Amino acid sequence: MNRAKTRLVCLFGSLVSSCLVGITIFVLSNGQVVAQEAGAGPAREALHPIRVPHPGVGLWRDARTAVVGTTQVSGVDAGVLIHSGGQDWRSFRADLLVPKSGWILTAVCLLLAVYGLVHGTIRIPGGRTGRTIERNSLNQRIAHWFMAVLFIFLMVTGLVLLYGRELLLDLVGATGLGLIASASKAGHNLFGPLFGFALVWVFALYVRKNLYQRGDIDWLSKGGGFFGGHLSCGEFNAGEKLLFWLTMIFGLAIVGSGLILSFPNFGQDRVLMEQSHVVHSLVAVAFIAMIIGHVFLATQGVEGTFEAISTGKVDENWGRAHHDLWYAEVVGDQRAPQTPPVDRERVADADVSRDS
Amino acid sequence: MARMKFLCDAERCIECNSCVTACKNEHDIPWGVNRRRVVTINDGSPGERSISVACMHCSDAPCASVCPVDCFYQTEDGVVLHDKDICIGCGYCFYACPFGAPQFPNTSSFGSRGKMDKCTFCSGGPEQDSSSDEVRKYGRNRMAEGKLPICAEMCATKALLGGDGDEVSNIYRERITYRGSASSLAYGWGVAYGKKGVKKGYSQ
Amino acid sequence: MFVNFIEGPLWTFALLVFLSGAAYRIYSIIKLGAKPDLATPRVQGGGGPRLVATRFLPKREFFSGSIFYFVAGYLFHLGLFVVMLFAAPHIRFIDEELLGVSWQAMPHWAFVVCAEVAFAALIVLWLRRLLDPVLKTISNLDDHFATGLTFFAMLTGCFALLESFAALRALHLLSVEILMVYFPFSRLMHSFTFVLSRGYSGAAYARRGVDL
Repeated sequence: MNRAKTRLVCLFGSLVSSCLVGITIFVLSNGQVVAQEAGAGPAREALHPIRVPHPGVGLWRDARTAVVGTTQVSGVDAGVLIHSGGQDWRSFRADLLVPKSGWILTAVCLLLAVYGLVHGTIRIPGGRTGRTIERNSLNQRIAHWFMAVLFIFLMVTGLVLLYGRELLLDLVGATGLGLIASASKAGHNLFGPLFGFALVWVFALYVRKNLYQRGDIDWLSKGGGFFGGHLSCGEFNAGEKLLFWLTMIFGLAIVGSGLILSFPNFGQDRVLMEQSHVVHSLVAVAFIAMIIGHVFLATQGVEGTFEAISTGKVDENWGRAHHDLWYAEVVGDQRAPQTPPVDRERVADADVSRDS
Repeated sequence: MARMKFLCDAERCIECNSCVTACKNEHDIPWGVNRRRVVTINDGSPGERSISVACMHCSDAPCASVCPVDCFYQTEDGVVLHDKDICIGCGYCFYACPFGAPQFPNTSSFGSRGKMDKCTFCSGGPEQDSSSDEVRKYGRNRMAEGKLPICAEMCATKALLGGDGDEVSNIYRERITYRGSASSLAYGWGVAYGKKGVKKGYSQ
Repeated sequence: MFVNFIEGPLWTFALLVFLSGAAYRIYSIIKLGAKPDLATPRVQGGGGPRLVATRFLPKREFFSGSIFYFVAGYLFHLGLFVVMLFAAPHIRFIDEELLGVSWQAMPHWAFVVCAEVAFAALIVLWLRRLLDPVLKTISNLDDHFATGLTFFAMLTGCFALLESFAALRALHLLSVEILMVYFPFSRLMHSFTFVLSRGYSGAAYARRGVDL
């Protein structure tokens, strides 16, 4: 009863806190920009009344607040004399994003490690029967691992760009960091759009199984069985559905902002680029935290889960224990009254040549 | 130690773009890259002002602070320079810079901007002074020859001042004192167009 | 320095091993000859080249079962060949080190798109090899090593895309050189032997009157 509760608290806590922190940071950083642009002059005058203002005060206020002038030079934002937003963005990245996200990700890893050590893995009740049922088809597994491999690569290259200067500069020196960062940037920009295709592929294969079903809210409110008792659910429980939809939402945000960032040839101005970067980095941190939780749960959290995505087949007792409605459906299909019992493994193997 | 600064006197700038042209010529800068540009505010209306802007060589440079590979450095004269060999062309310095000084030669797909290029205060780069590598990558190193930046030297009206910050501000302060304040302008728009010619808060 | 070694003697060595190894293997296959067919030929000649051409597409009966391999296989090979032959850095390399001629390169975005297509197809095909139970059983070290080496060569190429660091370019060149040395001793020879095997089958079947 306590182990399930802890698991839920860890996962949801990290998810929710990452989202909340991210939203707060975003609102605060944008709030600063608005405050600077709007009320700098009058506010200052109210505090320190000046009888004879500087003769150029109007000119420099206009110059600072993104009045767009004309210029003979062509280029993005060439007519903007002073771009104040850059300081807010730089401060967001250096003072909020880099330090805080490091703590968030470390905290997630630590919480999961503590949970894992204290609580251990949920075993299959009744042990393994040795009989298996198919859970993920070959196509589904290929799509999942394609997305997973891309995610890991993008995560590593992205984190190099984010934390490289903090963590690697002293280790490998300036040229070494330049080399690693150059490789990471090239890799990140090249594989980013591929992640979009992976998302579409996974969406197409899994969306119909992740729609709302009666019992999902109940499953969530009872913490997936953490608070005791047995919970029924279909092929995918509400936690897995949440993972699916958050992956799609985060993925859409991250691919969209990534495309804006890596195709500057459409004349995007700096404000759009800064906003895209903020979205991209915040979503990336939340996404990484969520996937760390997902990897932990899927490998260590519950025994017998990983084989669902590696071999595609799960033990019958695992199905009965964790997805009883789905188990009944699958087993019921196979055990029609008149037909003899079918050896499911041989049936599944023979199916290999066809796209399933 | 002298701290090098630029100052563009908006009252004197006539938008001739000589500074822009001189810079491009001196350093053989390719198409699309503009280390210096002249921005005109309120073009065509009374109170029009032009200002020449390039890298301001900030004491606490935001570009240096945000660079993910830390390729910026500051010389003893306070000039902010960077190492093109390490630069990965990510564009962060361009987002952070208030003046839009960093420029990129390509704006092509998949973020392949190329190496960042910007005003060097005619001080070249990390290569050996006046070597052919330095000239090819960063342009001429006038400071090593004891000269000031070509843009300031070329300015037709001496609107653009470049050099030791103390000297530059002394010159500018002298000008302001000579010109007088907004209400008692001895010259400029107010003289030519009367009160209408001076947009509120736009003198000096 | 090590970079000079990679760009100089090791490149020459790899090229020699690749060319002579491939030539020797093709020669030894041809030298094996074919068993004399004593039956009267139904059709005179032309079967070999004909089958080489027709087998680029699967027959209608097998099409639905092989869509995956058909699409992924072609995407990978076409993507890779287009990148190898029409990417600006490669053309420059061929001009300087090999043939002394150059030709029009494709635009940068096209280069990256083709590379992405090749990467995606290769990763998906390799995943299939690892996840499909039948393929997993029949795949051996040669299969995985060849795929891995090709992937590594492409990956190092991707890392060197910004063309800023001699070390990254040298790493890419090194991985290509290892690939070239490994090439004649591995399944990668299919790039030449497919002509021979299709040609042989085509000649043999056509003699017997099979509709190619």
